[in-house]
Amino acid sequence: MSGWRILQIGLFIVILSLSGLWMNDGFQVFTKDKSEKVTLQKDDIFGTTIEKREWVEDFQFGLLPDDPLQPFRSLSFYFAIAILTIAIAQRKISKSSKSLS
Amino acid sequence: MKSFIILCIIIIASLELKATQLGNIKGKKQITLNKAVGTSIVKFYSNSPLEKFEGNSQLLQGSFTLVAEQLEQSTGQISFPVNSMKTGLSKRDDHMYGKDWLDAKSYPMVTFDVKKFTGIAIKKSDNTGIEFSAMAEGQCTLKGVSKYAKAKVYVKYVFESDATKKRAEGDLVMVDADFSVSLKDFNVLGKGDIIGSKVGENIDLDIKLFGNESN
Repeated sequence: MSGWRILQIGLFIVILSLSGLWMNDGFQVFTKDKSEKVTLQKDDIFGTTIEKREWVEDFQFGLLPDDPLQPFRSLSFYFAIAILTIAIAQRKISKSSKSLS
Repeated sequence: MKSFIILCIIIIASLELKATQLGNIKGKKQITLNKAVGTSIVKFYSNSPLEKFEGNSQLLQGSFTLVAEQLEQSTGQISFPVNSMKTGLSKRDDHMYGKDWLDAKSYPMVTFDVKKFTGIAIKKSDNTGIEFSAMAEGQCTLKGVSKYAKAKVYVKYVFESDATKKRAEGDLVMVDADFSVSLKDFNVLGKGDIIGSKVGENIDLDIKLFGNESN
């Protein structure tokens, strides 16, 4: 197996893993750095359930970056690089197979 | 004809004088927001084609006066600092505080001045407390612009008891309020065409207030 093919497979695995991470983080459009922890508590005095909310540090991988100056904090960045590299690798593989034949 | 006009005047005057009584309570009740009673919170929701997001502020402050004999005349003021609004994305929060958005430096507070209650409907009244729904009408001030605003409110007024005393002195109050603001109305224009694509044109607010009677 050529180096280009190994690179293609490697990138495919990376993209698959990052897509899994993105799905696991809740299909976020933008990368987030905090999430909200919500605790429900019964309030007997007012006869209702009240929410206690607090922001906690929690990186959630998004499709687009949270900061345009840091594009690597997004799935789309790795997607673009991987597709480009896979295409270049495919071209190289095709070229080398043509020259062999 | 003359008697018809007089009748109309009497009807209009009686409608104007219509007063809703807060149970058997007498006088004015000054209610101040108090963390010991509960954490007051304003949650805001943005719905745009690209993203739905929500945020909140838990640094609400203020007070209101319930006029027991004529609830319609109740007033109050609630406010919270712009830079206490969080959405879970620090960069977006920084942009939100900036000049193109809410301009926290020049206009640090968002306020809602309640001038009167209308459409009051008593939902429950017993020896533990009173519940009523109403429309709170007043002025909302955001980014230095004041606009007439109307919020749907539901008030739970709980009389002082041994259980309430464990939280705070006096009668306790919880208010649930909902209203919506149009960013354009308050001169919040953002950058480019972000409003309408990444941020909703209208922001829905869901407010929960907790306070106790203060003298």
